[in-house]
Amino acid sequence: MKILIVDDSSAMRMIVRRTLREAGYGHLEVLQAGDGDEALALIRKDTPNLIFSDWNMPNKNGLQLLEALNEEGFKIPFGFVTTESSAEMRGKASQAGAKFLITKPFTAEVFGKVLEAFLKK
Amino acid sequence: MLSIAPNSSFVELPVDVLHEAVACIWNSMLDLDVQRDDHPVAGPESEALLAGQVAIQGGWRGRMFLVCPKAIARKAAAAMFNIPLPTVTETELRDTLGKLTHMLGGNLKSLLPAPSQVSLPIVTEHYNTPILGRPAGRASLRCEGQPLHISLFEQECEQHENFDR
Repeated sequence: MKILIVDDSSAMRMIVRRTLREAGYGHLEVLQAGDGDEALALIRKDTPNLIFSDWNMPNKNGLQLLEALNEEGFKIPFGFVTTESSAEMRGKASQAGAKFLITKPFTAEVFGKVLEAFLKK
Repeated sequence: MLSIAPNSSFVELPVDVLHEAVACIWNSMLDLDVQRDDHPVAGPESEALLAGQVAIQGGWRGRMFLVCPKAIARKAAAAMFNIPLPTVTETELRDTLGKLTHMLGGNLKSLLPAPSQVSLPIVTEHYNTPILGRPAGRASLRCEGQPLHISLFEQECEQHENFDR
């Protein structure tokens, strides 16, 4: 099982990894990318089972990444981990096919529920 | 919680709201406590400070700053990266403060007139109070004995071309 964390902040990628461990999913293989472009290139080579992506990122943002994955026919469960969670953003995320949106700051419990829904421990 | 002037769209975020937003992030992300500081004293020289800022554009237009001594930014980075304090690099320091600023901006944005977007963060070594914009919230806080300052400035209508960076 592989999880891809996409965030332009290495600090935030580190925190998501730590939170995954706290949620009991430390055994999963974790891939990382610093923006949407990097993520897309990585996914084409090594497809993950679940993607956690930031929304605001340079180059290609999270929504553009999701749209690019849709265009290329990828069916990977995709969710946002973002500081913003307006109704407008939730609408756009849902319309593009995002499965969940986690707002920062978050807890291990929230991640645990998401992972439980999409992965088997 | 919000105070809105009766004859304008001017919004001011109270100290309690700013404190709660910062404390929530710093506690959950870094396991660091943040208290209100109702009697702030002069902090370190500006050279020892780091300032994170984000612009908010849309229903509310303005800029938010999170200013703190490098010492506490270093502690935050050590906590965020889970590494020893002396090994924190300048890149990790700026990355951490940028992310904390962005998270705070994103959280506070939900309390401001919508719809708005938060820019990517900018982190600088110096902090100068913006000449443009009126204060829309200010809080002096403390973390690990070090000061943290939050301020928001609302862009005034006639300042469009100069405010954005």
